[in-house]
This record gives sequence, C-alpha cells and structure tokens, in this order.
Amino acid sequence: MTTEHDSTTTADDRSEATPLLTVENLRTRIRTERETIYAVDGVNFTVDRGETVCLVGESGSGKSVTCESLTGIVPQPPAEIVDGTVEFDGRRLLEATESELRTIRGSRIAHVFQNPQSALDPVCTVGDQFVEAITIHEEISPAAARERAIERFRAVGIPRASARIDDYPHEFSGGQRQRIAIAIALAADPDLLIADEPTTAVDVTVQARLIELLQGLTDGGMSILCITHDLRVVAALADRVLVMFGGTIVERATTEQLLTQPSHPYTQALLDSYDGLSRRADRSARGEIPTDGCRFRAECPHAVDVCAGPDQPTFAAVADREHHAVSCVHFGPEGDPEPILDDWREMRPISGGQQ
Amino acid sequence: MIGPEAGSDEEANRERGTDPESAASPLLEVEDLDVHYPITKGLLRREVGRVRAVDGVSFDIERGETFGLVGESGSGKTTAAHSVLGLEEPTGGEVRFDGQSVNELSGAALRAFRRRAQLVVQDPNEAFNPRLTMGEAVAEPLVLHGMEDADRRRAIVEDLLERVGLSAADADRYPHEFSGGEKQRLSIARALVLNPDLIVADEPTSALDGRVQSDVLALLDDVRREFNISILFISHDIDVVRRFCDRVAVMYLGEVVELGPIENVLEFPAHPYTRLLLGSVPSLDPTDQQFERPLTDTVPDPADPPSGCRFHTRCSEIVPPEDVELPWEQWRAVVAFRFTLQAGELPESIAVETADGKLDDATVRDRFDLPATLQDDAVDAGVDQAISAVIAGDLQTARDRLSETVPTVCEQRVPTATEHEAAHSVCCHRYDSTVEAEPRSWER
Repeated sequence: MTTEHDSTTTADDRSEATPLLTVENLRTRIRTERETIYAVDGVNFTVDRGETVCLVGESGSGKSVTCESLTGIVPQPPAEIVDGTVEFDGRRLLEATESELRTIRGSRIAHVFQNPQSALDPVCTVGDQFVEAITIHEEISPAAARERAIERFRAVGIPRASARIDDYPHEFSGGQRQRIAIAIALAADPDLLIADEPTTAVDVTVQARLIELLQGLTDGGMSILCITHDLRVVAALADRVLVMFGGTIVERATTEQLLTQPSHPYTQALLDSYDGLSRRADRSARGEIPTDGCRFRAECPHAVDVCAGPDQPTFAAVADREHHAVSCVHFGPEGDPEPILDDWREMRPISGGQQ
Repeated sequence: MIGPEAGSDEEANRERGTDPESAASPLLEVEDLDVHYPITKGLLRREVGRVRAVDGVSFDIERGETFGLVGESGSGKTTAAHSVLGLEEPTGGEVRFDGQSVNELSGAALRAFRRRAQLVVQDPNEAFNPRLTMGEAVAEPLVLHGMEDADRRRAIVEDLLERVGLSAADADRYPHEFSGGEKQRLSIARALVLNPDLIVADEPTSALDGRVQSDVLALLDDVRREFNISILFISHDIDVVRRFCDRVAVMYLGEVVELGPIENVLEFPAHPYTRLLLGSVPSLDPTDQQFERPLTDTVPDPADPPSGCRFHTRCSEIVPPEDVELPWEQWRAVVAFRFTLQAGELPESIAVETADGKLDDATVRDRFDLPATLQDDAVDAGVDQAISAVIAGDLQTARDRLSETVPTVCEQRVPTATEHEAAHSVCCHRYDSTVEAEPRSWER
C-alpha cells in the first residue's frame, strides 16, 4: 500500500537538476524508559537549490526531529535514526562520519534554532563568535571578518551594531539574540539554512526585515528549510510547504495551493485555527496519536475504517495538480474527496479572493 | 486616599456588580504611569541616566472587558502590566483598582487585591514547581490565602480542571506529564482558583502553536464571559489581538501612541507606528508580500529616546517644515538621510568607501535615493553641503547641516493625545489642529 516516494514532486524534480537535498523514508525513534516514540516515521521530501521549503505542524509533529536528523545533531541516544537516506549535494549524510558531518555543518548546512541561547556562548562576545564561525571555514583577515560581522549584525537589525559587537549575549534582548544567532549561522555563507522557528522570538518590524533578508538569500542561490507554525511566515517565505502530523508528512503543496485549498483534514483544521478562533469546538477530546495508518484519524471528522492502515495512506494528487498531494484515503482511487473539499469552502478561505 | 482599613469594606462588597458605584467606574484605571529605572555608573552607583520603560501611560479597563496592549519588545508593555499588579513600583502616576490606589494597599486590602488580580505568564513550562502535583500547584493560592480545608480545596481544583478541559484525575499528575497547551490551561485554572476580577495575561499563547493556541484563547474567552472577568492582554500577535480584544493600546518606547476600539485601530490605524506594525505583518496572500518600511531601521535606545515624538526617527510620515516645498518622495529621502546619519548607522558600502577616499556625490545620492537636485533651493544647498561633509568623513558637520536644513515639528514638540474619533485617541502631530499637517491616507 505505501508508496515511499511522492510521485508528484519527486518525479518532477528529477526531470530537472538533482535537488540539493533529498530525504527518503527517514525514520527516527526516540527511546525513553517507558516507551518508544516514532518521532519521524517515513518522511520523504526534496529541497531544490534556491528554494525555500517550509515544514509546518504543531509541536510534537516531528518537524524539529526531522531537521535535526539530517545532519545528525539530534542527540543519539535517546534518539536513533533507524532508516532512510539523506542525500545532500551528492553526499549521503546518514553514512558520513562525525568529522565529515562537522565540516558540513556550519560551512554547507547551517542551523538556526528556536532558542538562540543554545547557539550562543555566554562567555564570548558576539563579535568573537561571529569571527570564529567564519575563520573555521574561511581564510579571512581579522579586520575583514569583523567588518563582515558589523555588516551582518546591521543587516539583521541590531542597533548600533558597530558599538555592540564587543558585547556579550546576555547584554542583548531575547529578540536581538535570535538575530545574532541568524547572523552567525549565515557567517560562512552556507548552501542550506535549516531554520527552526527563526522569527518566532522577534518583533514584526524586525521579522519583516528578516523575511526580506531570508528572501534575498534564496535569490543568491541558498536553499532554506524552515520550520514554522506561523502561516503568515509561510506565505511570505515558502515556495513549497510540507505539513507534518504525528511524525508523517500529510500534505505537500506550493504555498498558494496550500493556503487556497488545504486538502488534508488536518491542514484544514490547522489553517482554520490560525487567528486563534477555531470553529470546531471538540478540542478537548484530543487523545493519543496512532502510530500507524493515518495518524490523524482519531481526530478526523472524515475517518473511515481503511484509515487504520497499517501503512500511511498513499499520497494522491489533489485535483490532478502538480506539486499538490495529500496522504488521505479519500483522495485515493477509491475515495471521494468532495466532502472534505466542501468542508474548507464552509470554513473561511483565508487567502482573499482566490476561492 | 483610602487606607488599609477600607480594605475590609472593599472585601465585603467585592461581589461583582452588586455595588452600583463600583459598577459605574472602570475596574482598572491607569493614570500617567511612569516606571523609570536608574542607570548607574561607578563604585558609588551614581545615577547617570534613566531608562523610561513606561512614561506617562494612561488607560482604563471596564468590567468584563478585554484590553490589549501591543508593541514591540522594549515598548514597556510587560513593565506596565507588572505595575498594574503591583509587582513593579511605579516612579510616578497611579494605578487604581476598583477605585483604590494599588500602591497604597497593605495588609488585608493588599491580600484581597492579590487575590482579585491574577497573572498568566507566557511560558507555562516555567510557571510550575516540578515537585508539586498539578492539584497542589493549582490549590497553592488557596492555601496561601488561608483555605485550610483540604477536601474543599480538592473539590475546587477538580471542578476547575474540568472547566479548563482537563480531567479531575489530572490533579495527581506532575507538570512534566503535561504538554505545553495543557500546562497553559492549568495556569489559567490556577489564575481562576481565587475567583479574580482581573487577569493579566502576558503573551499567554505565544509559546503555543496552531490549534493549541486557539484552544487556550477559546478557554480564556469562555472564562471571561462566564465569570465577567476583565483581561489585560499583552501580545505582539496582531491576529490574536484582533480576534480577542475589545480595545487596544499601541505602545512605542514606553508611551501609548494610539488607543481605541479594536476595529478602528486595526482596520483604520491612525498613528504612523500602528501603520508600520500592521504593514509589517506578512499577508496571507503569497503574491502580495510588500512590507511597510520605517524611515530608518535603527530602533532607538529606550535609555535615550528621541526628543519630541519618540517615533520621529523612524516615522515615514514625519512632518516637513512649513517653508519647505518638496514632493513627498524627496522629503522622505532627505529626512531618511538625516536620521540615518544621526543614528550613525551608515550603510556599509559608504562607510567602507569613506576609508578609501573613493566616495563621490553620486554614490551617496544613489544610496539614499536623493535626486541630483532637489526642488527646494534651501534644502538642496543644505543636502549638498551635508553630502560633501560625508565625503570628507566629517559626519558631525553633515548631521548639523541636515538638522538646520530640515528641522521638523516632530522632534521639537511632544505630541499630545488627540481624540481622532470617538474613544479613539492618537498621539501624533498630524492629528493636532495647531500643526499644519494633515493625516496621510493609509491602505494595507
């Protein structure tokens, strides 16, 4: 039953140049004393050069573990990458040694985390940390490195950048620390930036500048894999979107397709709640997420017996669209997607004038 | 002035709505609130300046009303909220709760106030002692306020847990067994346990995502309606504020710049800063991603806020002098040039080239969108001299030239709050009838 490859996107991507990043059947488990959590359970996607792909979903859906598995920064144990391949620019990362990975991290793939404190050393000035991040990977004079630090700090919105470069992380506000962490991640001009909620901690006026900054980076050929829960950030940044639930991808689409016609019942519920007032009231009834079949079936108003699996429902195209596919039995050959699509017509379309 | 003795009276008639007098006045009145922090220097901790975290803030909240406080980090919204709760001593002004000054409360009256006004914090993960069961944590305020009867406490807690969408059995579980959203429900339960009149919710949902955020907001909205609680809602999320609040105040560098009913302020924003905030939120339409840009990107230091209107260094609608005749785009370019120089945040291209002595007039004009000649002769001459000074590396002269050439009322006079429409006040010279400048039109 399961198709491990997504026919709509993968086939199309292959016809052009090879994607920068190809992830196939990635499975990461987290073992705790009491149980094993299937944090990432068979995830497939690609990221092209110069492309921004957003991973959306709620906490616990496996977005962060997916991204941290790519370069092996997920702590092992308790986590264990049990299956899958990650191919980055022709290199297979899951088989790489720790020292190879260390070279790739930072110079080719950079991470920006949700919590900037984890990325900044409290006993080094932010300028020194930036300079260190460049000089590990690049021959550059200390003066030039410092100049680039000032320029980048300014670009991410640090006031009086030239004066504050010798300050320590604790002397900045939380929002400013996140901006500094982004500046440092970009220090060595990586090919792929993996950003986990990069704008969640910053103000909207700064977020607007950061979005422009990130948009500019992809124009320069960098690829971005961005985790976010903010649909407005998705609308502003993403070329394509992957929606995750319970360790699986449930829908993939271009940004416009996703925002105008969310098709998986989970995606519809997610979009419906974006402004803080969901129309469906049965929220307290959320229980355990199943670990097989369709992970959303316990909460899904359209659940039927075949949703129970055992495999994740095969991806099927939505209305024969290129790039738009859902893992839902109702969109498969035997299903009828109309009731689900009707549901969204009853909720408010959030992208004005498209529907 | 109401002394501590009056506290017991207040205690007696705290039943909401039973006292006609208290029903008429707002539950919370904040008047000219100042919270300044001294900046000290040296061994003797000499005061060398003050951070004006909150400076002359006034608003009030009616019973059962949800009042939003929005602004960027450093705008003073959290400090203002903490002063409302008496957690932060104001350096000026007054906070009155049910007619009584919060800072003069002591003894029983203070305890009563602490019961009636509750805080829900942003991060539910840090709000609970990991060694207490949730039942103990939620009941803790009851113990502190003298409820001895453990069975009664337990009954109250179980009832509340069910009300916030959890089960009575959850009382025996520990914080780590709950998700973020469940913990935030529990902190709401804990805030409700003392039957408060006011909940101060400081970014209550920004640590939560998607549907969980929406659940918690729906819960807050339910309890507000059910118990007629007033909520002071602090948030940076315009979508959440729009859906949740009745009125909103927008803060910038410690001051309220605009205050009014939610639909007026967010649909027809009057203050240029509110317009900047709204125009910075990405649209949900992926094909429409134009952001509103401030005049300069430098956020001023709250310890040293700009004179006059604090927003003038970033304001795209800054008022030109009456005798200056320039098309709007040219005026904007000239003031942007001026305040960028003033902030010392020269674009790197210019700063680098100055060192090499390669900078020319055209490069500077190009970088700042300044045309070769400006329509106003006096301004043109002043800008010419300023550019020459920048090329010569003499930034101070350039700044002085520009501030003589393009002075603005926005830096000279502090704007006062003007009633723009009914119950909608704006603190901007463009709405002041004595200043010759009309409000500009705005469209998102």
